[in-house]
Amino acid sequence: MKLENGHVSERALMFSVFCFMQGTMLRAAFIVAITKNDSWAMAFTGLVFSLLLIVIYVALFRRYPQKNLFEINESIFGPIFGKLISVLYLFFFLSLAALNTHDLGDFVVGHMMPGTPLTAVILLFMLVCVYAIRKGIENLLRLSTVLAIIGVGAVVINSGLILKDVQINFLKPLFQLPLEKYIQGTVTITAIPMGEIVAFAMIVPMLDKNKSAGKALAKGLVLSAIFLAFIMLRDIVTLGPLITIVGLPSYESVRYINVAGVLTRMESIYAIILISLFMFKVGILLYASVLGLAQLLNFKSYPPLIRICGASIFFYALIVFEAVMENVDWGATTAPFFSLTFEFALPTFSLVAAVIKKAVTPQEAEG
Amino acid sequence: MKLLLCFVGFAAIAYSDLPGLIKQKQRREIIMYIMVYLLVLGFAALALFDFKAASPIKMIQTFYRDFLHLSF
Repeated sequence: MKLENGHVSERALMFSVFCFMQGTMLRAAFIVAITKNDSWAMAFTGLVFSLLLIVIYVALFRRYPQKNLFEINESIFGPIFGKLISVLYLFFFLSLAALNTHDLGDFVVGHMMPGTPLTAVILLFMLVCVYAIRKGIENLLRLSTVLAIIGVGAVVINSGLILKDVQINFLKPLFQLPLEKYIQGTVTITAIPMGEIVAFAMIVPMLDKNKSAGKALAKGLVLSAIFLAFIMLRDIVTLGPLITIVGLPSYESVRYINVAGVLTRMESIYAIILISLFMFKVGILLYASVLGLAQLLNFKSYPPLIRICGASIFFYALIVFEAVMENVDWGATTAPFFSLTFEFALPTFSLVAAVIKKAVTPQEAEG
Repeated sequence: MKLLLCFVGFAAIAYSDLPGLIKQKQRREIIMYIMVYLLVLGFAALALFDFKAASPIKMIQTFYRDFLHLSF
């Protein structure tokens, strides 16, 4: 029995991927810390590898049409081993949601409302996410078009207003870092923002035409990579060497805006857009977790699990890190490998298993 | 105070979710729901008592870095 009967258009899916990726802009500092003023190029090298990930996902979707990631796992590995792999994915989605929620809490408390308890910020944020998912994932996905336009508009306007502070010389020296740094940067950007679109494997069966999933995901990813590169370029030419010191480069560069002493503090508007994008991203991750949990427990519908899943993300986000430096250390060292396990290793393993299964029992593999 | 707020929150969650499940007379779903509920409640209690070692991310980091040696 299908748990989700909603539909989503190819365009909404594309913009959803775009918004999902832009919600990670705060975490771009991880990449900047590695590849410094060459970070913009990592958006493109990361894109190449991320498109390879999409090829793997699409191959799975084509073999198991109208099935989400958890259903595919069960079809390939059977009910027991399949559920075991799905539990790991569930943990991954919950962890991503908690990490992003914690990032948002740190951002709000650190930059917008100092002194406010982190618990209060995270609680309010989770309440909004739970409300959004209870109102239906379709509505959230449709919202992506508006959010994307607002996000792009804000960045374009901010970049225009900041032009007088830009110094192209900050881009130099170009590509002078050791090769390992570029590899690390590429792996990090592939795993942390881009590969996280594996969460959309829970949404793809909602597409009207399942075959267009790859196109929608790829288009969304290409747009995101171009936009991410643009933002990184803007931050590099605005902040210069400071970019490696500040915690949130895009937020700090917007703070430079000062038009005749009248148009200032533009970062407040930018922060609101950023929070909306975060809400969108955590909403998608919450939905993936809830739908996955409902499938694992053989529930007839998923709404009864939304609040309790939201509560688990809330408490997980509270204890995930004790200090900001722990978060930075996690992002720069271990997070790419953890993420790639679920974004690359497990899907590849599933695809190989599906191919072998089809070769051995051709009729069953279609199921 | 924290503990009281936590219990009020969890009571509210149960109050909103359980009646629907009970009405549908889905015994298996109710049992499963209660199990998940208690699991999250236990996790919440650990978080409230500042049991920082409960962070799964830290366990993963130790596993990847020290056991699998996968780390930059």
